[in-house]
Amino acid sequence: MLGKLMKYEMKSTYKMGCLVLCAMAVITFLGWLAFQNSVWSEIGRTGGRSAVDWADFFYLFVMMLYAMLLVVANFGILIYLGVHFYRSMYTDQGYLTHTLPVSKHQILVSKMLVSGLWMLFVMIAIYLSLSVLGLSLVFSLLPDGYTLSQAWAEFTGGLWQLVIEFGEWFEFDVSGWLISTLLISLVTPFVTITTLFGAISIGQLASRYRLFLGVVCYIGILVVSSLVSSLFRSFATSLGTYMSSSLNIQFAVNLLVAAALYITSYFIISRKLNMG
Amino acid sequence: MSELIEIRGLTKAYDRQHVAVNNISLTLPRGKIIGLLGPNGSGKTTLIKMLNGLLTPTQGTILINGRPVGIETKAHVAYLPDRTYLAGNQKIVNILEYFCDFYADFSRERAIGMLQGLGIDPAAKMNTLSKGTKEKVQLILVMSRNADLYVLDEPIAGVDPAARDYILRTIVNNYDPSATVLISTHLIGDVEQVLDEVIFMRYGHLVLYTSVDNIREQHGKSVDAYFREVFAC
Repeated sequence: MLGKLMKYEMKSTYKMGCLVLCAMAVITFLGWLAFQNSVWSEIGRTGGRSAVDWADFFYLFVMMLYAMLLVVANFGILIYLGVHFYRSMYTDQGYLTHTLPVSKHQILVSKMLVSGLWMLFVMIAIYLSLSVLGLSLVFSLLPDGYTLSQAWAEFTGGLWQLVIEFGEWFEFDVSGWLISTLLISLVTPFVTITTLFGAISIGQLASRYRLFLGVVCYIGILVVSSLVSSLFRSFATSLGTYMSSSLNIQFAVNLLVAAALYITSYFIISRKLNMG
Repeated sequence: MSELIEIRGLTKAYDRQHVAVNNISLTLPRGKIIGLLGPNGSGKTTLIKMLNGLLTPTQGTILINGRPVGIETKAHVAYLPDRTYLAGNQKIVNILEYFCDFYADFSRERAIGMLQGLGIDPAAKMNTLSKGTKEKVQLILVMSRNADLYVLDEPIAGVDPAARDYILRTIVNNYDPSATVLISTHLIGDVEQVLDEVIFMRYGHLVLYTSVDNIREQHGKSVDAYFREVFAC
């Protein structure tokens, strides 16, 4: 039954998810377009030009729009998934959801996995978009006679050397940090979604303004978990310890909060469900 | 087991002032069409929601086929709520696929037949249908299941008299005679003709549970007339 629930959850969310991903592609193209302005290649060759063209303002505007739309895409998909969860669980559509012959765990897990996947896809799309823009900028700034592969080899080699030296100076495990960052990045979308869904479920305990309370609850949880993470990070005795543990501490706190909210969501839909 | 539903000491209290269902004990048999009747606010819908796991009782127990309300009972209970619970952007054909996937007792052929009989295009989206047609679609989905218990909450409220007749005919013609149909309504005059037994509720209490024939023989009145007498303001 879990597979079926996930299938239908994907069917009901794929249109918006694909729309956001397509929007990301368009946004990336706009950003790439902005870097085709000659001012960038002139910076690479001569350090810049003295006169400013009207087209420069357009491209600057496009860059600002790009940054803004990236943020909108990230928060937009989160808001959409939150609203979708609320509608399918706690409005009239919930009458169908909660009378299916499936367990409460299956209902919750299917929604969290599918929504988490969409958050992960959007996150990957953002990283890809930034990478494309970064490469585009590098290519635009390349001096004459320099090829992209040369620049890339020098850039990556220099960056890796810098990172290793940084790790030696401040005594932290760079490769371990990179691996944990990657793993945390893959899990964080699911943690974020579980936290959001838990907050929305807590909001259902109120008799009125349930969705508003859910939003307030979500913001409150984010603030409190950040404060708790900061408290633990303050115990770091060196910059290296701080760097290596900061992300892990934040993730550990978020993971614990998400686990507690999953249990809370399960309890609410099992024992405190009050449809209509 | 001849008894389908066993309700013992069932109570749903939202707070001290609002007790929607108050200590009801009831046993409902198989193979009957039972009317759950009462004025607005008598607790009918609250009782129905507890039967379907949409509300958690404050006290008491419900057993359906000897099992507490859960996954196993939901697989054998077909529920028609008093509202549109299907997403508006869904096509009927996709909803049929959904029901086929989750309910082993769902008959797609029966559903298609009933939709065609009403001239409803299975490719239509729910949000393109009128209110009455949406209710018919939802009823068709419910009556296309071979369930042990059909729970219909206000199935004929808000529809025209012709549609009411169609809905009642559909209920009678399509349910399994060994199953039980529980119909909640306050339009007793329309429903009385199909009922075998009736439950009267008021202010969350069970007032009466008896057969329709009993009411007619003992009181010499129709159920509608007797209801008006019992619940006279």
